[in-house]
Amino acid sequence: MTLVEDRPVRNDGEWAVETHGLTKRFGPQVAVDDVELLVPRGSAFGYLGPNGAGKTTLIRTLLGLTHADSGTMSLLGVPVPRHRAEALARVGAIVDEPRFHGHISGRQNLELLAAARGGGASERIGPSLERVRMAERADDKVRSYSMGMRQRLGVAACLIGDPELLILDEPMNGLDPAGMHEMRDMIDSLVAEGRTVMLSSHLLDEVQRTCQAVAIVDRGRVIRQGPIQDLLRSANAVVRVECADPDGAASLLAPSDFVEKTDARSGVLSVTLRVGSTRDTVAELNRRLVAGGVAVYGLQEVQTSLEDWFLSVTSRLGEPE
Amino acid sequence: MSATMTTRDGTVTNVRADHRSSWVPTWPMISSKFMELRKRRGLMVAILLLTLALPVLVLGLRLLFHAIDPAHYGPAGSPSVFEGLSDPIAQFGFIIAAAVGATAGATDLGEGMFRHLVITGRSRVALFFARIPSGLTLLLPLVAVGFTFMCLVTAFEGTPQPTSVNVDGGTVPLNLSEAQLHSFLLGHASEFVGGPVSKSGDGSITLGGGGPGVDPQQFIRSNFSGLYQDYLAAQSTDLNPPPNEMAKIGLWIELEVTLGFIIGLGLGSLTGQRTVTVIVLVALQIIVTPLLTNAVIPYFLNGQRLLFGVAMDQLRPAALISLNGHHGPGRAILGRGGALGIPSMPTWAMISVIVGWIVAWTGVGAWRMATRDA
Repeated sequence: MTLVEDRPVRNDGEWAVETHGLTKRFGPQVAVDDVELLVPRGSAFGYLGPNGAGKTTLIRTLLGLTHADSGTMSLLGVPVPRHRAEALARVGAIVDEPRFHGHISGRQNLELLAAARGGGASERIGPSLERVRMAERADDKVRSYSMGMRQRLGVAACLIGDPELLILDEPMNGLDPAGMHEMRDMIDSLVAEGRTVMLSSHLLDEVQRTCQAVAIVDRGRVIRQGPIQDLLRSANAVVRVECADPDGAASLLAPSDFVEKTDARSGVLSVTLRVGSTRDTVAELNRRLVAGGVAVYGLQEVQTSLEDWFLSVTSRLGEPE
Repeated sequence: MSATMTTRDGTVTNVRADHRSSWVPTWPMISSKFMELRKRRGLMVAILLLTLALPVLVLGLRLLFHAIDPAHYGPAGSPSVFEGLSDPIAQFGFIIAAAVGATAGATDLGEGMFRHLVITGRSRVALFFARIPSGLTLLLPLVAVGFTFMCLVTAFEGTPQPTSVNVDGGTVPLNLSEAQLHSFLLGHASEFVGGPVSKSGDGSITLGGGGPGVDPQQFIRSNFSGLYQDYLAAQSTDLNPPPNEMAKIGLWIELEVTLGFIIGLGLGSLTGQRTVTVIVLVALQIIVTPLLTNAVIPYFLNGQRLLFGVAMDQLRPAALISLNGHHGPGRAILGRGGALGIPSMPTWAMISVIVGWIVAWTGVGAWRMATRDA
């Protein structure tokens, strides 16, 4: 049996994860606040948020590790927690830092989990360890593993269930650059097999490289979600202008209706355009500078990164109302 | 809604049919948990020391000393050694069983595996129940081996067995039942007494004593209960327990171990703390129980009887009850008299208390496991 051949046939239903009005409180603290989340099947989906935003709590609630106070949720179209066993039979997950019994080997830890999982999981232990490149250390005690090795063992623990949906909480934590690269490749390959991978992270660059869609969570609420390209398209474009007189150019452009703000530093002018600006807007900017007598040496449209966009979105939220 | 997973190679897994929601654990769950417990080196060393090494060491030394200097050192398998070892084995068996139970109940949580296990979708109650056969499979055979060694030494390296015992000055045949003893004493009252019997101020009976007043047969009828206890104690002092009594003692020790494991498991699952659980149960066993069993508290008598230690003490096989200066050999390290001083409970009440403790702690552990945030 190999992992790739052992893929389950996907059930009907558009969403791998679906929540409506999901709320989880710890006393007066609302950790998950009326979350509406839709994770498309067969994709890598990033769940982004600053520390303490409620990412792990949402995952724990989805997996039945803690109960929700209100709202509905389903995994792979199966309502949970009502049909928790059926849903989790097709789900693999790492929550928080992956920890195992330290006094037994990685393989023996997987045997414990395979025994609980059933359904041929024990036969997938070997292939899973091979896939995460842990076969050589599989018989060593877990207490001798590095954090990165435990992360990989955690992924192997997910794979023994041949999951249709993987939920990975901060999977890049503790990995060195090579390990992060491997993890990224693995997520890509899992998605290529038709599985859905939902990962939470604060490493925005990694998420942008790995995921097709994201949700941004802040203070327990999902504030944006959708395909990354669509979200970035809605962000403000920034144009870097090299010119003889950046301060004069900034004064010249400030009254323009297509300019959000200007910032002249170190001889370079950064112009933030309003949402909806096009390439013609950049040409118009150039025209106004030339017409105003500013010598323009170069114009460069700066690609907005997920990190820039995330910071702009979350910092706006952080401002007092 | 589909409850099946179909793989490309044609494997179909029926999620409902694999009993994932069932409370009943599967054999692989039990055997893998057994493996996890067995791999704990420190715990295994402690189990082996207290269940096997203790009787092997004590009896081994006595065998050696007797072989070297039989004039000063009696046979290793004397009844007093047997009785003297049975109680510590039960006591230490309870404590090590509580430690194993606490380990089984708390370490999945403490070491981060509980979360992985819950995510498998397996019933949490089944995950809890898998721990019971796993832990008992580890403990009970080792306790049985240690106890069997004691029995073998007692049977083959013991003292020559008399044909009768001396009870309060009279000679009585061995192995009489309660009814047989009653008939025997009534039939031989005059042989024993040769005159009136007497009862001293401290309650002890002298059949062969002199003194005026009491009809021997009437005295035997009215004091038979105490005489029977004396007879049993004399047998346990002078005789090796017969095989059926040894079997009863073995089962009694195994019950003590089972109780320790179940209570440790339940409390460990409840608290999620192995160390705290072990400390609490050791304190219960060697401090609280002796305090509550060595004194009769008139207004708290039924409360005392609800303590499993009292029920276990009163359920102890007759061969473990001696007359060496007190009623019962004392059930705990800090105890002496044992719970035999407490007015006895009917057998059904003893069994109810013991079963109640087992059921209650199993229920508490399963409930906490099912409701705990992972």
